[in-house]
Amino acid sequence: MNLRRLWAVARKEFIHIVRDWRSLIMAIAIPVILVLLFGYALTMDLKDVPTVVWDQSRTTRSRDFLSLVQGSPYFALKGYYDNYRQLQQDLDSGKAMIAMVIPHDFAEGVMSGRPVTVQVVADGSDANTARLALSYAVSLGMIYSQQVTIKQVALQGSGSRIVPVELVPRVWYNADLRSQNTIVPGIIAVVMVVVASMLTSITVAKEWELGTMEQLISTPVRVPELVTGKVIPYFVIGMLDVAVAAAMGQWLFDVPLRGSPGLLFGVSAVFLVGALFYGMLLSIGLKTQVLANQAALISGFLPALMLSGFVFAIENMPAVIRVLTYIIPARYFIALLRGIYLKGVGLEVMWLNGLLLSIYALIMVVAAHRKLKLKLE
Amino acid sequence: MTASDPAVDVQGLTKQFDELTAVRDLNLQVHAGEIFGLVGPDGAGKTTSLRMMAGIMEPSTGVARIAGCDVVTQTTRVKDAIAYMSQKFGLYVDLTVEENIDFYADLYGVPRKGRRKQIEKLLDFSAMGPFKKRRAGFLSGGMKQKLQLVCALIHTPTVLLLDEPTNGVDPVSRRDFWRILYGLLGEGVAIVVATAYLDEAERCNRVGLLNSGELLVQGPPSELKQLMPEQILTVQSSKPRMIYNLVREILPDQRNTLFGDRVHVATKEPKKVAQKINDLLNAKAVGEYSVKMEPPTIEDVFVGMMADTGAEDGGSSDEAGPARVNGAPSTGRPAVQVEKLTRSFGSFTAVDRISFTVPEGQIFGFLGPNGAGKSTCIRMLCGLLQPSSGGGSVAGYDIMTQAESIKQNIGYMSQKFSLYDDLTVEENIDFYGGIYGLTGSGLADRKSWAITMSGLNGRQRSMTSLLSGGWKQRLAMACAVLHEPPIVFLDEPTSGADPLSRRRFWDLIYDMADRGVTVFVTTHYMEEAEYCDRLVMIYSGKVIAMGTPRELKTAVMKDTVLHITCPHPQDRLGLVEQLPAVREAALFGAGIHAVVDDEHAAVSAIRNAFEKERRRLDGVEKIVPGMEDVFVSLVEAEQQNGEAV
Amino acid sequence: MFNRLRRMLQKEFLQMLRDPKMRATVLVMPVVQMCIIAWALTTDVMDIETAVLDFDATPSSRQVVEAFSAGGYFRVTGYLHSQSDMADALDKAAVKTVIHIPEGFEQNMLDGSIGKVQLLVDGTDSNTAAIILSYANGLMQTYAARKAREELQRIYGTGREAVSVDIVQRALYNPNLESRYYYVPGLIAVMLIVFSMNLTSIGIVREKEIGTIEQVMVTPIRRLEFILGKAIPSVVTGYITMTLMLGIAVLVFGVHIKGSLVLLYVLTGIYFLGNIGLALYISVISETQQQAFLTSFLIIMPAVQLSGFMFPVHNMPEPVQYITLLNPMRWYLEIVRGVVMKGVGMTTLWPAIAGQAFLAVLFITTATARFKKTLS
Repeated sequence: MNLRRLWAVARKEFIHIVRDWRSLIMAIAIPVILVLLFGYALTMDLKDVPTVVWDQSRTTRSRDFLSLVQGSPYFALKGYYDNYRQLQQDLDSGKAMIAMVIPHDFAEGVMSGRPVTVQVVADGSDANTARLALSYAVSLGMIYSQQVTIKQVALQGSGSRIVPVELVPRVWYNADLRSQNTIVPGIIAVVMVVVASMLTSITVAKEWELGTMEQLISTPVRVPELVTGKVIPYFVIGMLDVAVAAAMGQWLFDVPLRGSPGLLFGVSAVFLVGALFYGMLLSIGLKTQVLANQAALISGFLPALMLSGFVFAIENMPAVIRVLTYIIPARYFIALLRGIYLKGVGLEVMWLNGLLLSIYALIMVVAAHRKLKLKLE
Repeated sequence: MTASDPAVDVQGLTKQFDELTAVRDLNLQVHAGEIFGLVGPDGAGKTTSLRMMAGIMEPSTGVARIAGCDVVTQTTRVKDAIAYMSQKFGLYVDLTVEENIDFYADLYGVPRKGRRKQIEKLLDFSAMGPFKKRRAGFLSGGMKQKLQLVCALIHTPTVLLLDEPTNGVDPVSRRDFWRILYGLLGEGVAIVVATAYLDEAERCNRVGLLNSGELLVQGPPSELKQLMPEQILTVQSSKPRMIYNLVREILPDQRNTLFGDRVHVATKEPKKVAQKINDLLNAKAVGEYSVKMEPPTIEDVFVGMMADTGAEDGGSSDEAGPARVNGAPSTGRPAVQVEKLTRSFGSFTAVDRISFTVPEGQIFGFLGPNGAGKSTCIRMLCGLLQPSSGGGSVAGYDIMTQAESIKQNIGYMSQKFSLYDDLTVEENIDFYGGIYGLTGSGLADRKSWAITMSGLNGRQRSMTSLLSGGWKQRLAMACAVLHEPPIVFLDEPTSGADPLSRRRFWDLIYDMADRGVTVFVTTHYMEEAEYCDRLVMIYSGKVIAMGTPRELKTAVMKDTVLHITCPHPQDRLGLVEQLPAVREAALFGAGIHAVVDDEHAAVSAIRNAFEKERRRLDGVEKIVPGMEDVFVSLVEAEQQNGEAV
Repeated sequence: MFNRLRRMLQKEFLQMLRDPKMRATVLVMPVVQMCIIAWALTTDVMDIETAVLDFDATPSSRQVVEAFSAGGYFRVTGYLHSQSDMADALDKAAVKTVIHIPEGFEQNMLDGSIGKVQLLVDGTDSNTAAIILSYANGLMQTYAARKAREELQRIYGTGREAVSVDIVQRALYNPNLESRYYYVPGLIAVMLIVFSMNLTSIGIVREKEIGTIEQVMVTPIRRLEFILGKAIPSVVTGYITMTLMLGIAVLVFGVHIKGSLVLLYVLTGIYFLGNIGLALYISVISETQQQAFLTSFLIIMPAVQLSGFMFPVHNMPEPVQYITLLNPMRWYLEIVRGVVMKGVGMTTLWPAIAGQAFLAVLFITTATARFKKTLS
């Protein structure tokens, strides 16, 4: 490898990037927007589920129960109706996700110790929200019963031995269960897959399409100089993107970085190399910009978003798909990122992830080099 | 490798693409300090041959050695030894001239020290100095070609492979170009050049004629000319096409060909035929003309050989229609009229207050060096580009406000390749026919016309990407005039086409003009300029001359031009140039043209000089200047003016 | 007009479908991706790997562990012996949760104070953690209620019932709460935008880059014809892939289409036009293919995220919720989920339909207006 030729290719590629300022801005803006979106706007945390009520009882007792519902962070009462038709309508149109019906004998039942039944109907189309909301509703029912019982028992002068057990939950690594803490480290992986493989997927194909390749391959330039030279500028942009994303996580979203920042950038670099050379490989193999870019998008973005454990936990997937996720490098990277960020652990615990990630990067580097032929067909 | 080994040694080289054999059993040797010209019709396999020699395409069989290294097994060493210039523009449009050059200099490992000097020298040679900071994408077509040559020449290669390097380059720059090449020969570089300009082939040490992938003949130009059994009679006049048609009527057996303002008649009985022609032309009263016997040119040989091999497929020469009177009768309404037309890009004025009028039915030639503003002007006339100021009309519609109406009435062939590579020949025609509103039998008729006209019979279903450059050019032209528009704009329609298809282009242009179509055409082939009814020459966006070809050659060009015939003119050029009696000298075809003030003094000075150096001199005579002489002297005069100011 | 448009369409289809690689990209890839990704889209948390650290080792503590494993969500995979084991197991992500029962748990309860059970949850995936916590709370409350009832009976003897407000749950539209039914129709919408946007967005800019646009510009073709010529092939291929994906959703994933199929197809057409109009607008304003790719990605990404596909719109901050009104995909998701899962029709969906149609018209007209038949 001749360093001067390598540098010549890299510099040329740098100029391309700088000249096309619109693309350059987008290469920087995409990560920022992604991080902002996920950090601010997107959360799966359950809160304020729109709820409508038909209170057939209309008593102090039923209002007590409803104020308990309203007081919980999970439900937001959006409307009171007196028939099923309207409840159904709101569920149909998506205005409400939960409908509650309090029976007319609610107060009498509570007073006399007879079991009463509150009906809770959930819009099950969003199964995740529905399941959580329903289970909170059940809990609310129990809490209400206990409150009433405690009051009654207290009136009769007995002790508070009514609630003998208590669950003391402690969430490790992310005590307040903030979505951001989970999402921000993951988003770094998504950003890098996208930016890296999408940008490089164009570079070689463009030279074939515009006819500059013929002139280029008639020179003494060698495959490694061409491939690596082209990757260098994008590596710089990629690392810049990582730094921007990490900085935003640190100062904008207060995501704790418990592990080593050096390790964070180290594994990012390894992953970036893999993603960049993967884009190169597509570009070399497919020879047209459209195909290479489309391939990068669907084989990079979609799996990184959906099969990497970023949003949808891998443990919940069917076995076959779980096996399939092992070929998705973002999976290892996300595991490493979350480990470094939230658990503060290093390669001593996650060496396997690190190793697999490096193997992936190595395969991509070798494959891209072997695939590129400096010949016309 | 020893000094006597050939720098390029090609043996039995063959390239097979699926069913098509692009190159078959090619054998040739080129030695250091030698320039080998590769000529042949469109699609003959010139590009494929060069690509294999450059080591960027795998041969199917056969061996090629460059500087003793095999192109397949020792590719990297081959690439160190060569410089290659592809036919398609291969540089980066978003890099500046300087950045492109530096990039290639680094790739070739040119040391940084002393590099500047070499770059400056090349930029000077190519007159690109002022454009160092301009992005390659904003250069005109010819300047791009020059830049690409500069990039290829940034190191001194053992072998230089050039694929039609002068396509679309103006005559002045073409001369510069060849001067650079001769300089390299002196340094011992071996050059292989594919070219569509046969006057360039004349200047090569040896020429190979390639047809359908096979090398028909190779040898020095003088030897090739001896292969021709006939002799050449030239009839020079101001109405060449009329004479061409007349001669064809009376001498249907002789091959006659148009060369600018001359008609070449190839014949074995020159005396008898000359008499016949004289009788005929006197009877028809065609005005001034002269009939001479002249040695054949390479182009004569080429045309003759191609006619023999039957390569002239479906030419339209037999249907060229009746003889055309120059300056066809017009209905009075001008087809194109512009008044102080101006277009600026930022601070740069590409077209500067141009005014002219083109009557209906005229063939209007638009000449000028690369970057003079020809394409910009045509784009404004086609409604593609909004003029900055001034105005005009095309087909009676205002170019400022009625662009869409203009588009209904014109055909346009852009300089850039304008067909869809991923569609077949037929599909391209269907598409353009369809959007021009042709349907049913109308479309079918025009389609078969277009395929015949472009010589693509039997290749209707080929992918356009597989066609050679010249063929694409023909197809693009056919697509541009499918709908038979009353006004046609052709921006360098013949760039890169072989001599035979160039003639066919012009037959077609005449055919259209005869039917009252106005043709607006740009070209860098000066013999083609002779075919125009009227010419406008522009320089730096301004009109510098206007008139009929004859007017330009007589009224505008006041200098005397001498034609010097001698062996190895490229080596004698310096000798002629340094004579005080000679103002300017340049290679011209197989000889030298010298611009002088005093005919007699100069002739004797030249004779003396040759005698003193003991060089053979075959003749010096005063000639009616050709368009190329006119062009070069006008442009050089402007350049000097520019420098003086 | 129709002749020109017909030729334009013919050319576009030929260019798109001749290349086998392109054919595969347009028609096969979405289907393959759909098959793989749809399986992965589930937030149903099952089989939570759980370790137990039982320092009490009494019948009561065993009761608690049983209560957890009997619920069906927690799967006890091992027993730990020390606090450091616990940290280790969580660090290595060997288990998701640890049930930690301190010494004296049973004794505390008998003494009349409160027995505490500690549950440690790995919070790196906050969503899964939240679900685990809600399961665990439910389980413990049930356990506590049982204990309370036993206690009351011990004090007052049988016959005295504790107050109980029972919640009868019912999930409409998706009684088994299968999250896949929710995500699969949404995935179709995602795939349609991802596959059509990028490919369409290069339609015009590619001709600019190659140079063919100049020749087309001097022809009498109308701007709308050119734009439609670029848009219609995308709509057609969009319908083909949509049909394939819908088929997979029904046959493979058992999604049941409750509403009108005709309505779904008609409304999908509007969705296509919106996306394609936007893509063509990108194509008109871009100078290179690379710009077009990046810009369309810049649109696809937020469009997917702000559509409610993964993250419910009602969870977003209010200003962001307003932004989603400009997102064709948000409207389309409402429509596709409404029609497929709820079986609702025009009367319920009209705001979504109106929103979407407005955006489609807006984008197509903007693209046409910006497309100039002149060079600059």
